[in-house]
Amino acid sequence: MQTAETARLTIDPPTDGVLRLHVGGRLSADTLTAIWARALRAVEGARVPEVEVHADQVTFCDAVGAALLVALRDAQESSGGRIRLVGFPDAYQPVVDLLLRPRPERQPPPARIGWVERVGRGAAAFFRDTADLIGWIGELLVALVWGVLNVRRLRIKDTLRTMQTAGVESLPVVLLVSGLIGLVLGFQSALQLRRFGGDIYLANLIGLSMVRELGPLMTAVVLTARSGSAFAAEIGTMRINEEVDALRTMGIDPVRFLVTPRMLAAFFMTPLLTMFANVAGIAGGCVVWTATLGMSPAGYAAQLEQAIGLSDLFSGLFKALVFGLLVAGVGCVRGMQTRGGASAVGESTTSAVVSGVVLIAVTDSLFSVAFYHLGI
Amino acid sequence: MIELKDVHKRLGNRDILQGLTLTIPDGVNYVLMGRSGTGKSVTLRHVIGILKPDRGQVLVDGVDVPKLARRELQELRKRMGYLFQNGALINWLTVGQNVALPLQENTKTPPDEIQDRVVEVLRLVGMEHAIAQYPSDISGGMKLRCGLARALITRPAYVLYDEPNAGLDPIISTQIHRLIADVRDQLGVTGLIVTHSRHCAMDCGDRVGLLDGGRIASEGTIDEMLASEDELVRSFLSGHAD
Repeated sequence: MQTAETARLTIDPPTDGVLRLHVGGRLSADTLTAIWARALRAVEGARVPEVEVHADQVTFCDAVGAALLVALRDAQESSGGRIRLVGFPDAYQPVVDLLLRPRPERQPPPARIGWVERVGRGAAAFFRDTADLIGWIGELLVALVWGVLNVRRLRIKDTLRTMQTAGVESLPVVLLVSGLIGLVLGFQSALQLRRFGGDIYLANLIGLSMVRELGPLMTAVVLTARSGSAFAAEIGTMRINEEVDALRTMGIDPVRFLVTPRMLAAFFMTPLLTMFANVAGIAGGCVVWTATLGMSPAGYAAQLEQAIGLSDLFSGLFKALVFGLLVAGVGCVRGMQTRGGASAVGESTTSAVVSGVVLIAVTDSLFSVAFYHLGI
Repeated sequence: MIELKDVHKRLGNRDILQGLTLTIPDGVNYVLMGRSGTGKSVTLRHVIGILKPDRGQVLVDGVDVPKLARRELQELRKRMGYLFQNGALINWLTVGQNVALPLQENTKTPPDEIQDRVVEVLRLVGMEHAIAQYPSDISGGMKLRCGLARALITRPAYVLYDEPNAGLDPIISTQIHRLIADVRDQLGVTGLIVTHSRHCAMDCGDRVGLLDGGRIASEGTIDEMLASEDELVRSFLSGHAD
């Protein structure tokens, strides 16, 4: 709304180190242009220790009026002086208070950490994690041995329930993935082998790859994604909901109660699932053998019989057993390490999958080297 | 008797308990009140031995809890019950299986006797009808009552209650308070109750301690606390704090 009222400014000559400004009328965006520059120049030019702004004649003040007062304060404080507002109408005080709030003190920038300290901190964290992990491995082994030695005190129902969810219910995925892997491997290899007239060795290649390597590996990866993550989420949620603490208060060891059934379930189910994975992968290869190479399934079986020995089968199953323990162990440890709120459960789950896959890859490499040197 | 003597505990970069001294005589319900983050639940966890103090003593029947070996601590815990905020029931076990857990895992009690005890404590908390239900199928108040039944099945001398009315409506809260008072009166159980609720303190408490600054700032019977001129006490018991 337009108004005829203007902003007024009177400047008294400085006396005793005090400059007095008298502002009045309407302090708003449409009136202040007339006095803004004059008031600011007066404060900047006076260079006195104190400025008093007498505002008892102000009839209206909006945010722009308050901004003038802030500009005057900044100008006075930048020269080391101070400013006082006198007689300002109460009705407009909140606007001024809002803008004249003391400025927050600047936080000093965080101290920069040198590379030596960074390396030190990283190393300390690594050793802490490693020590923590060694402690957990010990606890898990003790829990597993306890489970084997105290079958009668074992929670058989919980173990069977976990075998059902982690093992039996994983079977379709394991079959699908392994079957497709056998199929793909068959197609890729058939083309190459045909060029050298070695079609018949397709069965050897697929059989040995599945039984020694891909069967255990694909089963472990599927179990990591499906069961390791589920273990981490289940136990992590129990930690957040204080159920793990509740077990402790009842005098029940949470590791034995929660971890042992899961470890045992993985111990028994992973080799079984691997057997199915092997069969599915070999069947996938058989499809290529018959459809692409035009040879009979009986020939495929005969070739497999020659190629695969019991040591191949058992080395693969042994690997699967170790992978199963790793998957279950990592999932349970990540669950037990969960701290904080619901988001921490998600982090534990992700961590369980990532750690599980990395551990499986590393362990598989170690197995390959060890089996090579042992001639297995 | 539960005694805490000059207990100090630092968690992260915060001093939670700073010289907490507290005595809970046998047969009473002691209500520990205080603002959020003042260390009420931390105190309970010291008593049950989940946390160890940085300094000071935590004594239960004269035994220093932090110095107990793992096996001794498990033995002590069999004489104590702990009721968590939401009951903390194991979700894949039925109510009956949850309640039976401490006896099944820690004793050689025959299954028939365990079953009788389960029914007995569930009847005490008015939950015998839910014995075959799963925790996901019952309400928050029912979970809490089942949690209390589980805490009582070993016939403990002490029960620690952590916010026994958090998230419950006033009617269910009052039922829980009555239940806690009944546990004291009928079973002679000593209770340490952590709560923000003045109703809880008045319904089932014998003595009240107000935790502030990591130690007991004020203590007395309900009547003494209600008559107190201390501003913090008044703000708590008039229901304005927290």
